[in-house]
Amino acid sequence: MNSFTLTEPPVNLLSDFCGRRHSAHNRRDFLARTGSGFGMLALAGLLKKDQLLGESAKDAPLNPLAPRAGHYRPRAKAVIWLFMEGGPSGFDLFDPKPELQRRHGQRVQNIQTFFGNPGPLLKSPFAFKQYGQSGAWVSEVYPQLARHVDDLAFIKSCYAESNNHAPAMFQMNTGMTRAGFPSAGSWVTYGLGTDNQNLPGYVVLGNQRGSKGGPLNWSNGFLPSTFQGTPFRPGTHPILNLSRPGDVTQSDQRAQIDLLAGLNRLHESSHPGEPDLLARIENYELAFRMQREAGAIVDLSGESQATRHLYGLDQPKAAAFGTKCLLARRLVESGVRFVQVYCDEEWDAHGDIAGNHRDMAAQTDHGIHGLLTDLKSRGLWDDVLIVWGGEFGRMPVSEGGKGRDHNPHGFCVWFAGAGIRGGVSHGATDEVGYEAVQDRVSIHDLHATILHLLGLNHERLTYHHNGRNFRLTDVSGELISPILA
Amino acid sequence: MRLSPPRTGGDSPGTLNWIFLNRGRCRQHRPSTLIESTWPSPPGRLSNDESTLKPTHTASRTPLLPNLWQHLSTLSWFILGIAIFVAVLWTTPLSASGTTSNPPSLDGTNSTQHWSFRPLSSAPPPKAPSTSTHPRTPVDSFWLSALTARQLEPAPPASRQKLIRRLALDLTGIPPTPDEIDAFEHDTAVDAYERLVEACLNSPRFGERWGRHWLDLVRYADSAGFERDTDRPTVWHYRDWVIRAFNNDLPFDTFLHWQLAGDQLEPQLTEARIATAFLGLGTVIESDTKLPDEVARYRYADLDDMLSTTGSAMLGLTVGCARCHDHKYDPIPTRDYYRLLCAFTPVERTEWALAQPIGTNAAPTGLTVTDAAVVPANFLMKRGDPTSPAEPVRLGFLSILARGPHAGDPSDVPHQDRARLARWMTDPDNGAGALVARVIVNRLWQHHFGQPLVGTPSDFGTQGDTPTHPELLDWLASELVRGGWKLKPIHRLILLSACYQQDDTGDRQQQAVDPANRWLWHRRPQRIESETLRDSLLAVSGTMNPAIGGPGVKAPVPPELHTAYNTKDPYPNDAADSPLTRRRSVYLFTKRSLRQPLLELFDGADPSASCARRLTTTVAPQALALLNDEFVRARALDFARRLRREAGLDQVSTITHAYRLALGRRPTVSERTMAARFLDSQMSARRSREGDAALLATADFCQVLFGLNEFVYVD
Repeated sequence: MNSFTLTEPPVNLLSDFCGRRHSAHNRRDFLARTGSGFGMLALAGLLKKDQLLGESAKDAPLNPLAPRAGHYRPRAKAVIWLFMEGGPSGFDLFDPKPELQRRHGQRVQNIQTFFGNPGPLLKSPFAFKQYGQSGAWVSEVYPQLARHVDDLAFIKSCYAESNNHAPAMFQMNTGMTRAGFPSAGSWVTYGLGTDNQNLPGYVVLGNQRGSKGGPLNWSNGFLPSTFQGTPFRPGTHPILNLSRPGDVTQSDQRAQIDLLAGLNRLHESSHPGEPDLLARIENYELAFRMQREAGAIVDLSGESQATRHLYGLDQPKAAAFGTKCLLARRLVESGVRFVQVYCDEEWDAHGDIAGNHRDMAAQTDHGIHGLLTDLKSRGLWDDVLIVWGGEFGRMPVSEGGKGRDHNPHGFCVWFAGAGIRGGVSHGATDEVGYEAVQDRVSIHDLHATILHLLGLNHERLTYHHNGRNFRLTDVSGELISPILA
Repeated sequence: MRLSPPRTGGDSPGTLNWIFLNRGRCRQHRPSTLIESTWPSPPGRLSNDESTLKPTHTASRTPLLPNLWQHLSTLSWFILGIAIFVAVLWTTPLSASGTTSNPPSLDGTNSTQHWSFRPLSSAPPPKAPSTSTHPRTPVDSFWLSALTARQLEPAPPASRQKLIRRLALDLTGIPPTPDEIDAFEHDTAVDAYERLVEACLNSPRFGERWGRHWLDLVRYADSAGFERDTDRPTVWHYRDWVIRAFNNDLPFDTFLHWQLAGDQLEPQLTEARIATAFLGLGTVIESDTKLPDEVARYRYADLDDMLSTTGSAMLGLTVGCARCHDHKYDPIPTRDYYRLLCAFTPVERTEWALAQPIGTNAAPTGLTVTDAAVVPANFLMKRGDPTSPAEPVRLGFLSILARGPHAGDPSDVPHQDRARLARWMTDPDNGAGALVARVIVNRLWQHHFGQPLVGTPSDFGTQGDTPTHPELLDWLASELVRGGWKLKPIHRLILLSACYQQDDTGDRQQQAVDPANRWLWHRRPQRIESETLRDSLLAVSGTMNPAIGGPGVKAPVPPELHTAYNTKDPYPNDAADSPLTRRRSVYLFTKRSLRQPLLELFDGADPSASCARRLTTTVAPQALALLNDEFVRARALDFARRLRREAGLDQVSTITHAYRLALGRRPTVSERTMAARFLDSQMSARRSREGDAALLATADFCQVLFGLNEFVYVD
């Protein structure tokens, strides 16, 4: 049914970094010709050799982040992933369960919860209405988002493996519950590079609180470190080491870089055939440009009042998330390949589902509405894939009377934008929302679909590490075809 | 990695209700099993104390025995499940199993032929080609015969200036001082180089540098990882033990024995107890969960990590791949995996009171491991799922590496399994000793040359590279075993060789023949590792705190990276740059969730998993760091102050001394001219601004030296 039954090794366009097996000899020679042994340039070389670098990039300098075509024509050029950390409840937002309402207060025996001691079934505290042509249900807490339902494809049958935050976060980001594997954003930039060489290819708009599991969520894992997610911090200096030391001016630094280049060229002339040395010279120029561009991208002063209003920047509760949504749009507009936006607080409604979800929805509603509207009006809709979801969902039974515990067995995620068929609802959980039962969608399936929309075949995007080829989707993953346009 | 259905599994993968497993590697679909039937509800149904819901959805993938679901109450399911579970446990015969093949035959057919599983070859060094004046150690005979067979010429020896820098950075991780360089350059004795090698090998800095290579392999860190990332405040005893072991040349077999079973082999010896912390170094999920399945999964993830790391670091084999299925490429059946795992299943992490204090400032306890009082029953887990025990197993070793009548099947005594594993590991005749020796000498070669003899240092299996110089590899491994597993004699054989002392020639003709330098016809420049970079900044600026050992030092981390991350022991956000934090990088506290950015940027090892070979990336954020990082700028200022102290205000002496300190040589005329022009122009630019213009201009220059290719690459 999938790679499980493959009899031939997958064609690994990006694999065999170490140069082995079927084409070991050619690759070694190639590595050698580029003269860079085990370095990043070798990777760029391999990408070129395997024609993952597009025609136009053929003469570009060897650069691991240079843009390149995937395995086939992409539907999306970039991804904005709205990461709803903490685990939002599908049946309190998009997937009402009449049976749950009816059976409120009844006890069930066969539900295990993270903290033990499950309570009786707890009905959703929210009123639902149907919206749009598709008649999709949306809870009262998401009034702005409800206007977009005909553009969204709901996946109501997701399931994960862990009901513990950090492993579940790792799985949603990397496909694996253990730490140390490359995140989806890293795989994507590894496969496709990025369009703007003065900005990172994979940007993370995190929060002050910090995500469970921390930077391992946007880790490059065993991929080269250049593919890791770069967290932007709030404020005018989003990237590490972007601002000069206090006693160094721009012209001081220009003079330093010029001297460096001069001395490095003298050195390079006595070391022919070592392109890494040349690359280091070029990188200083790039770093110099990056300081300017990354500073400019976070400067929102040029955005109109209407735009700021659209994203809810004038509303205290919505401003923080709205700012990140606006920033995400600016980043993809500038050629950044993969942006993750983490919500500022968590949907982790152990104590009070009504209070928590009302609050979290209020924090995110405007920003998402602004983003979807803005992407359309700027003609970016067909280029950008938007993903909304958390690391798991929540239990239909109560915790402590009013709250809900973690539930990895069934939860809801939606996709929108490039390549997505709007107004679709795919899959279902059981009648109270405990477990995905119809058209079950694994996290590997989500990842396979994201890669597919970007023009990458999830079975062929591999990396050889510690003796085997790894994939984002490990050994499974199927496209969620019904949501594709 | 190619995966095909389990060869003898008997479960058709197309029609069952797939459940996904919580495992790090080699994940596969697993069909519903009997154990799961005891929990919780069948798809589409949910029962409670009053009624039973009718299924409203159809599962797209039909569950196991779908009709039975409809007719059995939960209680019935529970009883049936337990009954079948027990039946499976007690009736499955030991020998035949539906989930694993029998161990491969030991008669030398097929896989046994794979080069790394063979006994060590005892071939003597070949006679060196008569035309060559090069051979200095037997290593050269192997090297030269391979080289000349390809019509390649060895490069001339590098200058003494280059050699001392190469040796110092390779063996101690710190550039040589101008005095050391002068002394070596003026030493006319024939054994000058030999004595220098000896001095470097005997430097206490040697263990700090070479111990770090081992710490990469065992994914050492000072915290537990995952969301809580709890500090391990006493694990540094292990790090210090590794450093001491390399400095004292603890025989490598003992080095491994103590890490696997120091508590069982040498219960009275503090050093041996400390070493067993190896088994507790992995990341641990610290969870409040009460779900038994989840708890079992975490436990097995931990055990798998232990065994996989042991396999990669010591055996150079991807043993972990055999957790769920017989290894696809190497002759490691799943059964072997679980038999090996028996050694670890009783392991518990614990804090252990040190009987004898180590050093003067030792903490009273250290992380160590011990076996649980009650040794758990061991089972082969079907498809790697810890909730699916199949047949019972007991300790056994890799069949492919077990020779002799009982070598794969140690004994019936159910204790001290780790001690037995340890002894098997280094037994060159009846155990894995030959492989283990090959793996470690290859690692030594790798770090001395920047490229190993076997390109996949932690995969000596059939998917790994074959050695470029197989006879040399086996000869070195044999020498290691013959010499009582002492590593320093092997270092000497390599370092004293003409091969190691070659210059970088870049000869175009030879470049065309062997562009990758597989046959080592010259020396290529190597990027220094991240720790060496940071340590060099400290050493050159004269501010390195040379203290040895002790608890991990929490050096400052830029505020950009400093968010809470919900960890149990947050990293301090007020750490300041001070003499206390200007320690060698190996002594910095490694927080798994918050790595030192400078070390990370320059491809330091990720402590999540065993790292056999670091990458060498060349990316713009590295340039940004060398231009703007506070630590780098502070060292440039320290360097400028040092130059003023030691070279005065004279510009030529300043430039010359700076070159000697940073690059180990005097500047050429054109370099001096460029530097002087820069200093003049920066002086005049800075004169109108605040601060000591001369000092700051010199600091600008020093920072340029830190960014030079020649500073970051060693010839």
